[in-house]
Amino acid sequence: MTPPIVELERVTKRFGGVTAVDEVSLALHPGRTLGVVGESGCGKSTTARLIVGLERPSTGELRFNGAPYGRSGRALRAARKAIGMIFQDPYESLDARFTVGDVVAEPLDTHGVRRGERADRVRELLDSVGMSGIDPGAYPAQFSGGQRQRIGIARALALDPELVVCDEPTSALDVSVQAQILNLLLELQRERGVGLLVISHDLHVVRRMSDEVAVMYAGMVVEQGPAEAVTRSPRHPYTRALLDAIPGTSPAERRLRDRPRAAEGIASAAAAGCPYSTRCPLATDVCRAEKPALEGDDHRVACHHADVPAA
Amino acid sequence: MSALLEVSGVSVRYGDFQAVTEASLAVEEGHTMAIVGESGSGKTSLALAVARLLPPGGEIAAGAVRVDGVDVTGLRGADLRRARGRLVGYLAQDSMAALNPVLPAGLQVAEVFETRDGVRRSESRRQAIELLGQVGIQRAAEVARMYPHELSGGMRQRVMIAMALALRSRLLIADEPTTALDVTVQAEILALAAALQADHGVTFLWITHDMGVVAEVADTVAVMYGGRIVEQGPAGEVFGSPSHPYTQALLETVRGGAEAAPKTPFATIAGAPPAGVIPPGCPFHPRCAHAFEPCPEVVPAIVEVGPAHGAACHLLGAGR
Repeated sequence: MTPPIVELERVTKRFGGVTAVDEVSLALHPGRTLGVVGESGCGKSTTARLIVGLERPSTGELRFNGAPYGRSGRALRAARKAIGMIFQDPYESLDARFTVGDVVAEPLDTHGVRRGERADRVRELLDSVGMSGIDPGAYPAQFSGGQRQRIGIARALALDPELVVCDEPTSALDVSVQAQILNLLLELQRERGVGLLVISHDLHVVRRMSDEVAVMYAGMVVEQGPAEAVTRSPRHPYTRALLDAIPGTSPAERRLRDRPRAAEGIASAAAAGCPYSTRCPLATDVCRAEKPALEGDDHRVACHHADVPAA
Repeated sequence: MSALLEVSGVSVRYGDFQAVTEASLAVEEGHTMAIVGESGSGKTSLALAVARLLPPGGEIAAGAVRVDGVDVTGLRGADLRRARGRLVGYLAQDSMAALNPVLPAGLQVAEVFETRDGVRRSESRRQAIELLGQVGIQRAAEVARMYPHELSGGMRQRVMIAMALALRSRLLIADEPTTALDVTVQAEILALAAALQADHGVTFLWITHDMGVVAEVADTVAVMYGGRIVEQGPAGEVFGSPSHPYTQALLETVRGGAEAAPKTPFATIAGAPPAGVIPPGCPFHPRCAHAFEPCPEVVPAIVEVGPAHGAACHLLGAGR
C-alpha cells in the first residue's frame, strides 16, 4: 500500500477531566476510505477535528506525509491546505451572508490563489459537484439541503486536497437525497484518488462507503478492520449491539420489538477497565479492572472476550 | 373491529400554502399506522391537525378527524383541552423542548394524575414513580427528582411516554420520537412502545422518515409526498408489493444499504422533495423515472392494488 497521507499515533484529547479521544491510532491512505462509526459522545467528531487541525492533541502525534503537525507551524499549515472538510449540516456550515462563489473561493483566498484565476476555478469546482449552470452570485439560502451540501463539497475540493474528512455528510439530508451525495463522494474519489474519512452513526452508510471501518466507543477504537469483516463478522460485543439495533428492512423480519425490555439508568462511566463493561452482557471482573488493548492483525479488536457469542 | 381514528378528506393550509391535500386514513384500535415521508411531505402537518396542535396560521381547511367517534375538528375551549390528552397524546421528537425545564421529571408525570384524577401530591408522586419504573427507568425514585437537562435523550423520551400513559390517551401520536436518539437507544424505545401496546392496547399514529422504523412498528402504512398520501395499505403489502414509484425508490434505499457490496454506487432518486411550490398533477412526476403524458397534468386517483392496499399513480390506471 502507498504510504499514508495522515497518521495518528496514540492520539489523546482531553477537555478538562473528560477524555474525548483515548490513544487512537489510525492511518489514512490516498484513494481509500476509512469509515468511523459510533454513537454520540464516542469521540468520532473530535477525531475529525484533530485531523483537520481544528483541535490540538493533548498527547500523541499526528503526521502529514510523515511530518508531525499536531501542534502548530509550517507542517500544520501544509496539512490544513491538503485536508478538506465536509460538515454535517449544510444549513449551518455555509455563511448565509456569503454568495456561493465566495463560499467556494474562500479557501482559495486564504491560501493565496490569484484573484484572476478565481472565477474560472469556482466554475470548475461547481461543475465537478454537479452544480454547473448555477449563478455563483446566488446565496446558499436559495438552494435545497442537497445542493448546499454539494456547495460544501466544492469548497472542500477547492485546494485539490489529498484527504477529505466527511463528518456525518448526509445526516441532515432527506433520504432520497442522501444517496446522491454519497455517490458524488465515491465518484470524486475514483476520479481524483483522494483519501476519505467518513464519520457516521449509520453503519449502512459507513459499510457501503469504506474500505476499512473503525468502531469507536467512549473515545477508544474498540474494533477495526476491513469493512466487510467488521460489519459481517463483528468481534466486539459493542459492534454486535450496534448491528443488532439496526431496524429490519421489512415487517417480515422485525428485529427490535421482541427484544427483552431493557431498562435505562443514569449513565455512569467505567472508572477503570473497559469503558463498555458497564453495558456489556459479557463483562467479568477482568473487564472492570483492565482496559483491553486493540489487538490482532488485519481485523483488530479491544475486548477481553472477543468472539464470544452473547448468550 | 372499528377504527379508533378516522381521517376523511383532510386538507391543511397555512395561508396560501396547502401543506396537506385530501388525506384519508383509518387506524384500528390497538394498532399502529406509520405515516412515512420526507421534509415537506405534509406528514407533520397531518399529525398536528389530528392532535389539533397546528401552529397559528395553520388551519384544517377541509375534511374531518374523528377520534373514538368524536369529531375533534370543531372542538374549542374546555372541550378541546379535554380532548388533547384524554383522546390524543403527542410524543414530540424534541423531548427537551416538550418537557418543562424547571420542573423535576417525576413532578411532571405526577401533575397529570393530580389534574386528571384529582389525587393528592403524595399519591400522585407514588403513581408517577411506579409509572417511570414501568417505562424502564432504573432507580425511578431518584430519577423522578432530576430535571430534564440531567437526563439523556432516551430517558427524556421515556418520561414523555410515562406522561402519555398517565393521561391514558386513546391515540398516541409519535412524531419521530427516536430520530434524535442513538441507534441502540432507538431500538430500546421501539421495543418499549411495542410492549406497551401489548400491555395497554395503545393506538399509535407513528410519524417517521425512516422505512426501517416503519418496518419495525407499523401494522399499516401511509406514504406521503407533496402533501398527498400516494400509497396506503397493510405493512406487509406495502413492503411486499410497493406500487407507487416513490415507495419503490424509498424501499430501495433501505434494502440497497443493507445488502450491496462496499464502494458500489447507491440507487438514487433524482432531484429533491418539493419545497414551497408543489408541482401540478402527480407531485412526484418531476422526479419519477416512469412519468408519461398525464402525470404533469392530472392528479392520479387512488387505485386499489391489493387487499386494503391502494396507490395513486397513472401507471396503475385503466388501460395501462
